[in-house]
Amino acid sequence: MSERKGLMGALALVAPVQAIVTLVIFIPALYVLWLSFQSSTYGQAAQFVGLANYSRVLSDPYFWRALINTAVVVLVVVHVELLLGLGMALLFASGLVARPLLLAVVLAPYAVSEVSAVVMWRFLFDPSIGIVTQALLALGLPTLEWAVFPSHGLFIVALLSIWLHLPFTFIILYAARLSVPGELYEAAAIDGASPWARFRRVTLPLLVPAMLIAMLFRYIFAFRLFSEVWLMTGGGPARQTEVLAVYLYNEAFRYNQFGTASATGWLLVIASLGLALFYLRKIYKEMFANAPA
Amino acid sequence: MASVTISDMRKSFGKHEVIHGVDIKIADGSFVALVGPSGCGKSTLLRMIAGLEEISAGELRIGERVVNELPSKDRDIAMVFQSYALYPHLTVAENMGFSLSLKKASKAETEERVGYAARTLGLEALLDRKPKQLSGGQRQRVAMGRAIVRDPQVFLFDEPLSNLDAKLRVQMRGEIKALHRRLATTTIYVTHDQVEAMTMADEIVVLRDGRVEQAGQPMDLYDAPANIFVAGFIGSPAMNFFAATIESVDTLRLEDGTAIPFSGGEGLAKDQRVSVGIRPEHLMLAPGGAPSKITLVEPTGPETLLTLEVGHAAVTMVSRERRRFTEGEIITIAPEPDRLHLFDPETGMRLPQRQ
Ligand SMILES: Nc1ncnc2c1ncn2[C@@H]1O[C@H](COP(=O)(O)OP(=O)(O)OP(=O)(O)O)[C@@H](O)[C@H]1O
Ligand SMILES: [Mg+2]
Repeated sequence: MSERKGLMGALALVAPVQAIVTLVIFIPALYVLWLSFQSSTYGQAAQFVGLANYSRVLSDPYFWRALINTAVVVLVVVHVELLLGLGMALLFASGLVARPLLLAVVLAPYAVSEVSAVVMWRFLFDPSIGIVTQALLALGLPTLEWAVFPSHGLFIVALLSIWLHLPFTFIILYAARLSVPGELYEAAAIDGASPWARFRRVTLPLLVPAMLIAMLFRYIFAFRLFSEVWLMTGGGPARQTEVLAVYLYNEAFRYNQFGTASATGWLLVIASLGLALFYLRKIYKEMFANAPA
Repeated sequence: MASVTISDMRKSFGKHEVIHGVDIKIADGSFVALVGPSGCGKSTLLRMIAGLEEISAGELRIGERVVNELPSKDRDIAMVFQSYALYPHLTVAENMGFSLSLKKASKAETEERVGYAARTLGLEALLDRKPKQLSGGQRQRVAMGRAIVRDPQVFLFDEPLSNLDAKLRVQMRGEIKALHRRLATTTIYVTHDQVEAMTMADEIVVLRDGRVEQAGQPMDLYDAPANIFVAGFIGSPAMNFFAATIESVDTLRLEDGTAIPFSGGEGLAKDQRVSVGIRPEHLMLAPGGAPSKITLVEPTGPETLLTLEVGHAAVTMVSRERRRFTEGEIITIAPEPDRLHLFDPETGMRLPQRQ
């Protein structure tokens, strides 16, 4: 009886969150799923077309271009961020001079809105007058022709994305590193561990859960990559730097094909799940496998 | 096994010196306790021996070797931390065998040595568990197991029992002592608990503010403390102190006029001012003694702890008499005449007494 009451009380407490999630995520997602089986545009009633939208999207070379671009950028961004974040977390934990100041410097990009960041970067990397371009020229290095070559465009998008989101990965790994008690390293030093062995045998295993969490979050967010591309290259030249979210946006609001846009949305979900599956499984194992029954 | 010799060792953190020239000789195979109040530098001293803290000045020898500059791993010591510092991601067996796996020891050797440590400490059934699945006492044992596996010249313990409950602490106290008797490895044991030091150690070093106050066998420290600090620190409940003057070769007079008979005062001058120390267990009920009012009665079973008011001073007394004491009751007490401790009130040093 009282257990039942407790359950009802608990449900009442989580109900507002559930209601919001239902309203803004669950129902729209189902609506989009329904829409993905319809042919729909402005001023016209939706009409059931079965899997036609999916086959249209899957046979569109621009979709595959966007999918490959997304996968490459996401893989590069997430892994480079992980390596850089880990390295910086260890560097910070090993004791730096002026650590509070440096911490503020490192975290600053996270406070910058994506739009302002892109505007800044466009200016910095402007192919003729940008400061970075000038600097590269002065050093005799090749410059980034991101408005001309798709590979340069994607490279600068990846770079910008890393710069914007590194603070997230860094702060998670840094916090995890700080929570490792110093005595473990002293015990390891007495046990005869070299600095490398201390990293390999103590630090790394203890940071794995935090690394998995950070990567999972970054996978999910990186997959939604939109404003960096939209504002930097606009998907051009010749739709060669489009990513999935940009492709979806174009379908929906340039070509007004809500059916195919919805189908793209679900394909995006499936693709990101596919990429993240490995990490989800690992996290699941880490978190629940040795939890007390 | 090896002896440990500490000569004029000093430690400064920045400009701030916290260990001010400590000399300790620890015989091969002995069990030495470092005791002292919080902040006196026990942990710092131990960490200097372990190589976790740089030695600012002085010399540290383990056996014949000067090890000042050697890294921890080459000093052939093992340390048990207060927090145990077990590797949370490794099993009990892996924790204990960590040092061997770093040395790339063979599987057979690892199994043999971990197995031996596990048998010694009764951990065989727990070898596959992770630290978080163990009780405090079991973690403590694993930490000791990790030290045993290394078969070091010297064991270092930093307050290893302070996270355990009272009963387990007494049990582990016995186990550590038994272990030392079996392995006979030189052991340095840091504690702030003088009972632990008294019960376990062959020799006690009392530290205060980064200096050695006295070193010696437990009963020597108890019977003849070198100064007021050691007298007050060793023994529980703590010693009572009174200001007094020497009246004659066998009589002291307290400030409130009470005369106390004592023996062994041949070397002392008449009218000399002294501090008298009397242990609570050396006070007796005595007809004709000093009248005292009982303010608190704390029976523990075998004995009764009494807090008394003698004149204006609060005095503790331990009585083994099977008699009912009531608060507010007036009793008369006197010390055992040959168990008084006399100190110079200025320097705090023990005055010469014939025992
Ligand atoms: N890393 C450090 N930097 C500065 N001062 C320190 C440092 N470590 C210890 N001290 C100082 O050295 C003195 C001795 O400290 P230590 O930890 O050795 O005391 P302890 O006897 O072990 O005390 P406790 O019984 O509380 O553990 C203290 O005054 C402490 O403030
Ligand atoms: Mg300490």
